[in-house]
Amino acid sequence: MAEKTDILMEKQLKKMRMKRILKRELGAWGFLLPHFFFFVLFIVIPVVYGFVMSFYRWSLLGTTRFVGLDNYVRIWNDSRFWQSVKNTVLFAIISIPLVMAVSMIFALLLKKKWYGKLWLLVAFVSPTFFSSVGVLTTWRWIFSSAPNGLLNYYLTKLGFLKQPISWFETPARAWACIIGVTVWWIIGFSILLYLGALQRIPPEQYEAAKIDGAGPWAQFIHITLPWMRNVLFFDVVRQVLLAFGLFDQVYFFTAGGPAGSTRTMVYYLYMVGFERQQLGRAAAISWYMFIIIFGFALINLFILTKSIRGAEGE
Amino acid sequence: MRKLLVFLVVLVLALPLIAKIQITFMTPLSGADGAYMDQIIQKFNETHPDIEIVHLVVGSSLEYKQKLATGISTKSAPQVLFIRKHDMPLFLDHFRTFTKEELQKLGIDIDDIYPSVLEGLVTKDGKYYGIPIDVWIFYMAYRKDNFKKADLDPDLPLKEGPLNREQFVNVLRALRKVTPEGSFPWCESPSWDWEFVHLLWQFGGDILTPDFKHPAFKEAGIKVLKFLQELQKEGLYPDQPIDAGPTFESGAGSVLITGIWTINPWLDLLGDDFGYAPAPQLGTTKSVFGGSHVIAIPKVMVEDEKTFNAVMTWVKYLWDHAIEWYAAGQTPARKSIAESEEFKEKFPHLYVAAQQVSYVKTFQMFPYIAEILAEIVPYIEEVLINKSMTPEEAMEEAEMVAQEIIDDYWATVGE
Repeated sequence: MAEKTDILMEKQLKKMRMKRILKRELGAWGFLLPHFFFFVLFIVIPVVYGFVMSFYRWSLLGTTRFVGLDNYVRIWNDSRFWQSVKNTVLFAIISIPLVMAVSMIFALLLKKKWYGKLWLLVAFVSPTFFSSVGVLTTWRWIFSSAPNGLLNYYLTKLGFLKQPISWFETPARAWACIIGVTVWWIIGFSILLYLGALQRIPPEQYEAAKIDGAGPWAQFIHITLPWMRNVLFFDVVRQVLLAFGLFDQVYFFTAGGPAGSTRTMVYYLYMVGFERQQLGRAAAISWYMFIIIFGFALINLFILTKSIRGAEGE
Repeated sequence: MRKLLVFLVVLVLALPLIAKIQITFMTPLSGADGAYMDQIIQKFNETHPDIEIVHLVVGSSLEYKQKLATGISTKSAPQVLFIRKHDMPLFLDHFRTFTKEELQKLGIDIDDIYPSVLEGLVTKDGKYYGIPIDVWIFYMAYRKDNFKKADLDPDLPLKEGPLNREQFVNVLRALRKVTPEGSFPWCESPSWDWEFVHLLWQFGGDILTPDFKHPAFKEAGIKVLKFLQELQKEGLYPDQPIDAGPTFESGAGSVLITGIWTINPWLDLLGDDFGYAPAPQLGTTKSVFGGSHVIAIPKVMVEDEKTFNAVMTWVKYLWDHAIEWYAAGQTPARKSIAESEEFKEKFPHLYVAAQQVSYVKTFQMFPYIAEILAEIVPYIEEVLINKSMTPEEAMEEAEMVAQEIIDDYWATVGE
C-alpha cells in the first residue's frame, strides 16, 4: 500500500516537474516566436527557395525547367563572373585597410580630451545610420559631371580643374569615387568600435612603456594593437562582408561601368537576374558568393581562435 | 428611407460604370523631356474626363525592364508603355500585336512610319509589336565661332550636308589650328560605344549576323578603328577618355557627332555659336545611328475590353498630338510630319536632323545586345587609348567574347 502511494507520488512529482519545464520552455519559445517567424519567413524560406531555384532555368517571363548543375557550370565558365569576383576582391583589398586605418586615426584623435570632439564624432558616426538612397543620391549630385555639380563647380572655381569632368568616365576615377564614398560612409561604426576598445586599455601599460623609453609608434604597435586584436578581427570580418556585398554605390554611380570595370559580384547577380531574366542563374551566383565568403569567414575564425588561445597562453 | 436605400444601391452598382479608368503610362523620360510628356498627359486628362493617364517615370533601362518583367508576371504592369526600342526584345512575346487594318480603324497609319524605324517590330505574320512615335538620331553638332576662327564657312556642314569623309577630315584639319593644346577638334570620347556602332554601320558592318547566331563586326570594326587611329595621328581625335559635353561647351572642341537630345540644351546655351547639320557620312554605307520610343501594350493588362478601349484612346491621342512631343527634342518617326512644312517652321533644327530618318539604323532586336556592346568597349579602349592592341587583335578577341554571350543565349533562353 505504501509502495503504491510512493509510486503515485513519484508520478505526480514527475508530472509537476514536466509541467514546470514545459511552462518555462513554452515561455521562452513564446518570446522567441515573433523573431523566429520572421526569421523563417525572410531568411530560411528564401535561402531554401534560392537553393532550389539555382537548379532551374527560371524566368519571370518564360517557362521554368530543371537544368541540374547547368547554371553552376555556366557561371564557372563565365569570364564576366570572374571579372566581377576580381573587381570585388580588389575593392575589398583596397577599401578595408583604408577604412580601418582612417577609423583608427580618428579613434585615436577622439580618445584624447579636446574641446568640440563630440561634434567630430557625430559628424563621422551619423552617416553610418543614414539610408543608402539619401546618401548616394546626394553624392551623385556632388559628383555630377555638369558644370554646376558641386565638386566640379568648386574645383573649377578654385583652379584645380580647367573644366568640369565626368567623375565616372574612367575605371580609376570611378573606383576612387566609390571607395571614397564608402570610406566616408562606413568609418563611423569602426570608429565607435575602436574608441571603445581604446578606452579599455589600462593607462598603466602606456606609462610603463614610456618609462621604458618607448615612443608613440612603438606604444601603438606593442600595446594598442595587441589589446585591440579581437576588435580588429571582428571588424575585418564585418568589413569583408560589407565589401563582398557592395552594390548600392555601383548601382547609383556607375551601373557597373565603364565597360564593366566596376561591376561587382552582387551587381552581376542583379544584372543576370533582372537584365537577362535568368533568376535561376542569379541564385546560383549567390551560392558561389556564399562559398567564397564562408571560406573567408572560416579562415578568419581559425586565425582569431588561434590568436585568442595564444593570448590566453601568454 | 426606402427610396434613399434604393438610390444608394443603384449608385453603388453604377459606380464602376461612371468611375474613371486609370491607365498607367510608363516612360523612361527622367530628363527635361519628361515635362513635355506631362503637359500632353495633362491636356488629355482635361479633355477626357472618363480616363485618367498616370505618368510613371522609370529612367534607367535596367529598372524599366525589371519593373516590366515583374509587372507582367504578376499582371500588375502598366497598361501602356513608352519603351526604348532596344529594351523591347526580351518582352516581344508579351506585347499585344496589331494588324495594319486594326491600326487603320483606330486612325493610325502604320505606313506613315519610316520602314527603317519599323525594322524588328513586325512579326512573321505581318503584325506590329508597337507603334514607334519618335526617333532619337545622331547629328553633327559644331561650333560656328571656331569655324569662323578657322576661316571656314560656318554654314558649310548645313549647306554641303551630310559631309563626306574627305570634307569632314579637311574641316577637322582646318579646326586643328584653332584648337588649344591638349584638346581635339572632334572632341568625342573614344570609349563611347554608340559612336563606335554609328561608325560600324557606316563602314558596312553590324553587331550580329541577321540570324543573331554570330558576331559580324570584325571587318568593319577594324576599318573604323584604323580610321580613328589615322585621325588620332593627326591630332584630330582624342587618344584619352574625355568629357565631350563640357569640352564642346567651353569651345575647346569644335565638332561632335552625337544624339539629338543635346540639340535643345546647346541651342539655349550657345545661341548663334551653335551649329547643327546631318551627321557626316564617313564610310561606304549611308546610315546614321538612331533609336526610338515605341508605344507598346502588355497583352495581360488589356484583356478587359474597357481598359483596352481606354488605352487605345490614349494611344490615338498621342499619335495625333505627336508634334507636341517632338518639341522635347526628338525627330518624328512619321514621314508626313518629318517632311512637313509645319515641322520645318516650328522646329527648323529638328527638321534638319529629321531628314536623316529615312536611312536611320537601330539596334538589332537581340536581348543581349547591350551586354555584347559593353564587352566590345574594353577592346576599343585597348586600341585607341591604351595602344596595346592592333585593331585586328582587338576585334578578333571581342568577337570571341561576343560569341560566348550569343552561345549562352541560344543554349539557354533562345530554345
